[in-house]
Amino acid sequence: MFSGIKKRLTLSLILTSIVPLLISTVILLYSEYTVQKKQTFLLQKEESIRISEQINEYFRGLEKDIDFLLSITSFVAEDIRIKKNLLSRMISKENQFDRLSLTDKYGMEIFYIDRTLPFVENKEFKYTNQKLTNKVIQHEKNYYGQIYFENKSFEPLIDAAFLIKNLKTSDIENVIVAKIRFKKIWELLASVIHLEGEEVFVTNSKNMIVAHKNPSLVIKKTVANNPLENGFVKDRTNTYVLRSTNSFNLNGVMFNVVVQRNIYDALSLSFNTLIFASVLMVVLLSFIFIVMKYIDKSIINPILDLSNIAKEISKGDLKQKAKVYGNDELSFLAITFNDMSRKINKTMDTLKEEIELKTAVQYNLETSEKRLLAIMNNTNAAIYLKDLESKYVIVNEEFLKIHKVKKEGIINKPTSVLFEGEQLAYILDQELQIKLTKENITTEEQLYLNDSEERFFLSNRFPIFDKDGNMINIVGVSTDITHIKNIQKQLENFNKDLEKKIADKTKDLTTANEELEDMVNKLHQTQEQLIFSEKIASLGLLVSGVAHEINTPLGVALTGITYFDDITTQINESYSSNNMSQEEFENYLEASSNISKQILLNLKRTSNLIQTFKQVSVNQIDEEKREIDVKAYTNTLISTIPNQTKTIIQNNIPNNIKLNTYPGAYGQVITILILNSLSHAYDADEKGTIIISLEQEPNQLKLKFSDDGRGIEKNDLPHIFEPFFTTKRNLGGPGLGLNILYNIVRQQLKGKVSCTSKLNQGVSFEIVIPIV
Amino acid sequence: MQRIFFVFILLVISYFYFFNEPQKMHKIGVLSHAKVADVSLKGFKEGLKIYGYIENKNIQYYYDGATGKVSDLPAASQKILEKNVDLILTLTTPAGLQAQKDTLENKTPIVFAPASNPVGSGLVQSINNPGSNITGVTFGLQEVKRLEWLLKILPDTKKIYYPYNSKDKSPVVTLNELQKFVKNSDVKIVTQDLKTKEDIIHSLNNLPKDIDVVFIPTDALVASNLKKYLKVCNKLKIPISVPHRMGVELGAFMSYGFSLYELGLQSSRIAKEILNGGNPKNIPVETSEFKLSINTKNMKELGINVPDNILIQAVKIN
Repeated sequence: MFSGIKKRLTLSLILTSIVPLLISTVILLYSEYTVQKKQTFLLQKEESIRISEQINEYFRGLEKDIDFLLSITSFVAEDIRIKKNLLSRMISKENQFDRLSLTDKYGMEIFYIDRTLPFVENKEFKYTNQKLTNKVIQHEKNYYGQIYFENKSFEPLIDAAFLIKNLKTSDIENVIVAKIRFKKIWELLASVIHLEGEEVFVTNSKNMIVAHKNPSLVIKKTVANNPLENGFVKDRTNTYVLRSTNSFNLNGVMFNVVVQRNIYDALSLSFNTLIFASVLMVVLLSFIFIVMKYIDKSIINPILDLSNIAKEISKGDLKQKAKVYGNDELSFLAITFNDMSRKINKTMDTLKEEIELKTAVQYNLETSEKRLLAIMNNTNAAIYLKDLESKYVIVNEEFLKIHKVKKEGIINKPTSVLFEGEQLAYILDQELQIKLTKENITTEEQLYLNDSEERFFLSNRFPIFDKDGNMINIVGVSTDITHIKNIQKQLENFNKDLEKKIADKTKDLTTANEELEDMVNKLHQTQEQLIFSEKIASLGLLVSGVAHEINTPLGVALTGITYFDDITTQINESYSSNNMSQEEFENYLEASSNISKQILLNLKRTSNLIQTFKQVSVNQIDEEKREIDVKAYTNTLISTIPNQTKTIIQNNIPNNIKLNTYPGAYGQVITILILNSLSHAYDADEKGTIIISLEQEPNQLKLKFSDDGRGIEKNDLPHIFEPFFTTKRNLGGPGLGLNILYNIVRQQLKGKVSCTSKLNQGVSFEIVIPIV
Repeated sequence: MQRIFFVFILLVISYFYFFNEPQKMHKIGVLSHAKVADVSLKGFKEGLKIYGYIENKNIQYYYDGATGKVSDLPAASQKILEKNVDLILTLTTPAGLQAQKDTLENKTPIVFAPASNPVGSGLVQSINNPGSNITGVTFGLQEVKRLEWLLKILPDTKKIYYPYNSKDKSPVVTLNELQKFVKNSDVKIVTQDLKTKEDIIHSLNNLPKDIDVVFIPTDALVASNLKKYLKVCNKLKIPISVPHRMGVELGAFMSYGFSLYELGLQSSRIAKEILNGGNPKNIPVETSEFKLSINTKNMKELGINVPDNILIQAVKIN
């Protein structure tokens, strides 16, 4: 729409400025064109006529010169030398002739005077341009021949024959044949003042240029392009010219004097006007453009803005604001518009809020009603709402079901529709009380519905008030309790039966309890028997282990003593028979010494083994408890242990920790742990570190023992406290150390022992001893 | 807005650029080996001045003067070409030939003013169709006509002294024509071949005793040493005929030929055409005008009585 305004405005501006200019330019151009064309043409025509006359004059002048020569001299009567001299003077005068020939009255040449060549006498007479001389003699009139070009200089020449008559007799005496040069005409054309783009030239009947201010064109034998054609023509150089030609006849020879001018110069005024008009048009267009830009900025853009804003507002976007450009009428309009839209926006907001509020209220109402209906219809109670005239207003499904009526048959109907007689009177009385007291009444009612059916109801009647406190409705909620009533009756009967049954059951339970106690006692006995059997089994296992361990040294000792017995018997026999040699006796002594050593060694070993077995039984240490300084006591223990390895034993137990315990048991624990590590943890020359530390806690001491040796394999770890478990059986270890330790800790120290280890990462024991 | 303003400014600038193009400075090189021909240059400059070419304003001439020797022409020619001239004006036939040789490639236009026989010497293909980058003004062979005039003025002449350079085509051709003309008469032509200035001095010191007249041909070497001839011959009272009016003005007895000044003037029009974009190959060779000139002062000194009817036809120089 607005671009339409812009278009219309632009069109109007163009129509009011460019179009008149265009029209006036066209008119001006046309008039200028016609006037200038006519003017130029006429001027040129005039010039060509003038030049024609001058050329004509020139040739007539030459004729006059000849006549003058004849009139002032007695040419015919003079001798040939004087004649030659006279003609020579004619040539020398202006170089207008290339040659002058004198013929007799029959046209035979007597002599000639040439401009460039000396006269060479010819013995024989000859004709000079016989055709022309004949014509002259015949018609007794001067004639001109055709124009031709000289061989060497390429100058155009024209032959002319002039009659020479005897003044007395008027007879033809001689003819002068002259070769007339055009150089004078060239000079004439050169002297003409040429306007810009103007060209003046003379052509002969063959359209060849014979005179031009530029002789080159003549010498080149240039041919003009249709010189007789006037007006706008195409020149020989293919440019358009305005041409005016004047032709004239010089005693039988046609000359065309052409004056032409380049079209641009000929119509220069028109072209200037055109250029001026074009420039003016460009300037006007620029001006229109600037004006349009200004209008665009100051009028159309604000209107366009307003329109767009109005469009946006119509779509509902009331926040849009029109731009205020200045303080003109449009700006005032924009301000008013903005004010209007702001007010509309405000009103709309208020309206929106009200609608929202109402919608919310309605929604709540609907929801409430739905909830109410849902509650009413999904309850087992019969609910009804009556007005103050006891007419039903709302009833629920259960109500309809109980009374076996349809909704249409009950709404707006009085209570008497459903009840009559005493029941009606009772209900109306109840409602009357509510109207009077305005309080709830809850009653249990026995009603006979549909005449015969007896039903019990718990009825709650209550009033409903409006916001001013006026009672408007009575609501009744009657719950059918007929079934509950029946159950109540049944429960009463059931309770009576139950008391009797409980008494019977209590009696049975007491009997069963006694039986159960007996059974538990029996179980305890069985358990002890089982423990004993286990102890016997483990003792068997221990005995077989002990037997196995002591069997070897005892076997060796037995073998030794048997052998000793044999050799002793032998030596006795030898001694007895006095057959004993000294050597034999010495052998015996050596053998007995060796055997006794062997036996002694094996018996000591057996003894040691038995000592060790004794330690397995914790009870062997029958000592008294006493208080020890743990760190000092442990140091003493470490120093007594023979340590020939490179392993260092660090005692990190804190100072001044006292423990009331069995010192022997504690010492045994430490000794077993150290010996165990020394013999199992390290290789022969390996350097290791054993660390003993202690943590004191409120009720217990936590003794920690660790080494950095090879550790214990994962599969072996659960078995280390088992008796006779050893990985170094071949080295003579019986595998009892840790078992002894376990028994001491558990039984004598009443503590706990645990071991953690990973292969090649050392072993760590933790012994927890309670402080008693 | 800004764009329109910019376009407007552009239009204004282009208007001033195209319509007020600064005048071009035209450069013309001048080549000559004969000082006598400098008069032609004077006419040439005057002519161009008439056509609007003012020296040092819109036209510049590069000319260090005549070289004197033909052998010095190549160097002078090179010097001119280095100036990147628009046109070369040659004042003698050898200069024309040198310029022709040096412009075979770049085709700088050459105007000769004059060359005695442009077709014969190979400067142009023909008079009305030069065909290359050379054109100019010639003066044709009017030498026989001069002799005719000379004999007409001095009918008793029997021996004509003809000094010339046989290496120069022009005097050789002329000599042939002259010989033909006097063949059947009792007039004899005594020739003197000259190669150098020294030859001239020597020949002047040993002039034949019985010569009636000295006929100076269109020979650059001889013409350039005209003054020496004048000095000697005027002393000996021997009339000298020269090819062009300039010689008469210098003191020779007579001439029938062109005026170098006018020839220069004539050639300036051709030069103008070329400077305006014309192609020399299409500009015909023009022929100069010639006239009888008689130095009346010399005539009196020599004691010659020229008949009035002849004197009346001549350009009289005092």
